[in-house]
Amino acid sequence: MNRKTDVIVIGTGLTGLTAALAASRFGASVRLIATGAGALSISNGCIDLLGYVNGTLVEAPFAVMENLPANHPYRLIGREAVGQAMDFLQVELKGACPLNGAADDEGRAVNTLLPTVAGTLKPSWLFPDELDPRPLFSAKKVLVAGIKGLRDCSPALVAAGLGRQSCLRGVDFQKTTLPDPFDGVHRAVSPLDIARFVSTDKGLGWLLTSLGRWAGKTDVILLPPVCGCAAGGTVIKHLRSELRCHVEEMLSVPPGVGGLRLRDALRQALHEAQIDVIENAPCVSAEIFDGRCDSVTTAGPGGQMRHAAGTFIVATGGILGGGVTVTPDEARESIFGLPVAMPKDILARSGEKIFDAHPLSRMGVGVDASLRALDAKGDVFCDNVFFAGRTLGGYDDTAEKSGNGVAVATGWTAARAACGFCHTGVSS
Amino acid sequence: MIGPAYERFRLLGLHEDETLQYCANCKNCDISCPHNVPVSAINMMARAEQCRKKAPCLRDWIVAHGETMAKWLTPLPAALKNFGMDNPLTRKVLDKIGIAEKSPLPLFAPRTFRSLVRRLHQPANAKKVAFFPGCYTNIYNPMTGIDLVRVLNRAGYAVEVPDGFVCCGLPLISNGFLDEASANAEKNMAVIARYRKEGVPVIATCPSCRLMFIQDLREFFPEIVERYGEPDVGDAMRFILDLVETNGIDLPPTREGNIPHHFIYHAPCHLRAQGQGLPSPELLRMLPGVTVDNADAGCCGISGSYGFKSEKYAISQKIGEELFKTIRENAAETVVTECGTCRQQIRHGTGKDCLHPVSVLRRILDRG
Repeated sequence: MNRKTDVIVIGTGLTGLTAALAASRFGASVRLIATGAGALSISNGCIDLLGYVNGTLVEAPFAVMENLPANHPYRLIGREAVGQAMDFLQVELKGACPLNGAADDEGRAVNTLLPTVAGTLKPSWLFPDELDPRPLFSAKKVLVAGIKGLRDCSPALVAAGLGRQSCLRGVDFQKTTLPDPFDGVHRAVSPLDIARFVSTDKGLGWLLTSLGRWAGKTDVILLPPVCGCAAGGTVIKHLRSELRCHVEEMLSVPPGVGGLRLRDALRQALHEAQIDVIENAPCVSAEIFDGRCDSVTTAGPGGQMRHAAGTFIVATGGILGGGVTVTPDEARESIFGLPVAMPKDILARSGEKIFDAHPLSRMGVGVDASLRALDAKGDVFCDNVFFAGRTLGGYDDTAEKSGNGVAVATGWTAARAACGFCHTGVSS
Repeated sequence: MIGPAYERFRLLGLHEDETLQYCANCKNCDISCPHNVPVSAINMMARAEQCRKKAPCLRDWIVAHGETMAKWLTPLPAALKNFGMDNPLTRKVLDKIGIAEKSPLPLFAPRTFRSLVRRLHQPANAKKVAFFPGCYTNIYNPMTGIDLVRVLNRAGYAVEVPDGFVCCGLPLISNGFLDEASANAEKNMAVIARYRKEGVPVIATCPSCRLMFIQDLREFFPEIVERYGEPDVGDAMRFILDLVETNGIDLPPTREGNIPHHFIYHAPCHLRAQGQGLPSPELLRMLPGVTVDNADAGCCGISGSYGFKSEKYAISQKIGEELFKTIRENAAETVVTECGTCRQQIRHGTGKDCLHPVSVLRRILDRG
């Protein structure tokens, strides 16, 4: 048995990291139990709050949150909590990994559109300096740069795709492929390989030299996410000043260079807050007495171990993350075995069009306003266990573009609830 | 490209990747994978097959067989052995066969832990615990073992060091000698099974030895595990922490005039991979006057025998760079970490003194 702590957070994705840091700031002693590196390491490091509702592009997420279904996590915790959570993340990361948002002409906070290596635009809410797209929308000349050996980014595809976007009409897209930074290697190169190289003086020199002839001759340079591994935007700022134009990264496929930067910044904050992290420890069960959870049990390679705490935050992810276990007949939350509603008919679990919403994506644990799980009768299952992030049901992160937004909003709210901070909407 | 992706090509006979030799078996891939894919074991098995086709070089044999070599050299006094191994001329010769001239080779202790522990008086009629010392404690750093024995004596335990225990086999596996590792596993598991029958716990102070038992044996030699039962070797520091929490060991009281101690702790990768957290900083922080900073700055780069190899020395130093920087910039004069070769590497990279946590614990307990 491990020493008792106030709050145990299970999960090391954006939800778990946010919840652990928030609980610590609310004054609790916190321990985080991790399995794997967390899904943040395969993401892009921007916070999508709410990009689409029923397939319609959202301009101002907070204005439309009321139109979401009643069991949507944002509806359950309330707009105010969502806003407080976003503020919390921005304040916490102000030094190490500043996140910015966009505003319209009247100064109202709005979604912005981030270019991707597929030549599409994705609505997002907060973004680090590397992804700042604002100058792109007033640019006349844009250079799209790929890199020889990097298969994930084709300048022709990007230029053709972005050229079709109405908000970029009339932009002159130019294309270039930078020389192979490694002079030929025996395997496929990822943006992470190049970002690591660019973190060195030699690598930064290679990037500047390769882009040198475009210096001052274009308004914006779009790159795959290769501008160094460290959060904080030092490399991108240097590139912008040397190349005398705006340089920004496009969103790309995993491994997530941007997500890893954000993860490092959050892990550093956890380290400074002296939060214990137990790695490689899959959580397998929980010990519950009289409607309260006393401890959870992990089963890492070293064997089983019990961890006691006053409250628990479950941020174990959804079906892909392992937080929800699915068989052909039923779906259950993985640690507590809570039932997760799933359409009986297999065909009803997915939508007709692959890129549209799917009922399967909305599957997850049903909770009350303070994120405590509800059993089949609608009663609170366990007083001191709070669920957050992709473990929750009621939202479709892919169709809505709300994944990291729900992660931060519910992670922060779960921490506040776990630390005994009263939420106005909770009757208990 | 190595790991599971490479296995597809290797198993189909399509490609042999030389870079497989550059996997340090540090197990950070196992820690990063959320779906329990045994990435490091896949690499080590593939390497063993490469080694079956093309025998490992003399250098790999040497670094894999520390225990055998120490046995051969037993008759010589330590000073002579150390002079023989660590003089500039020998280092040049070793460099020629692939042991980096600058790498921090460990020095032989004047007496092995096994020979020292035999002469210790331990409490009679006490509770028993068996100790797996591992090669590093036995050959190079017997003080770790002696300190463990004394701390456990204080809790009313007599510590047995079974003669039947041999090298855990990790250096053999990392260098491609899977068959010899299997023979060692057989011997060790027979001893562990005997103690299990008697109800006597078996513990280790070296995280890599312990990980070898609790994880790697299952991956590499499932038939041996099946024959002898669970390879239940406990972590010595967790064992002591549990004793403290059940009042089996009394810690000195906090009072005016407690001497302040400041340490920086490095968590070895092979401890992190065990998935049971970090008992040592937790334990040391319970001692009066003790502050422990967790370096939390990644791998030290040595990975057992990896960082001693000429073609890997520079990589190994580079991996450890961030940790060295963190330790150098920290005000603590002494570094604490469970792993012997991590200590070797950190001393080399930072110039600071390094101790096993059980040695720190004993010093403070003795002072009272």
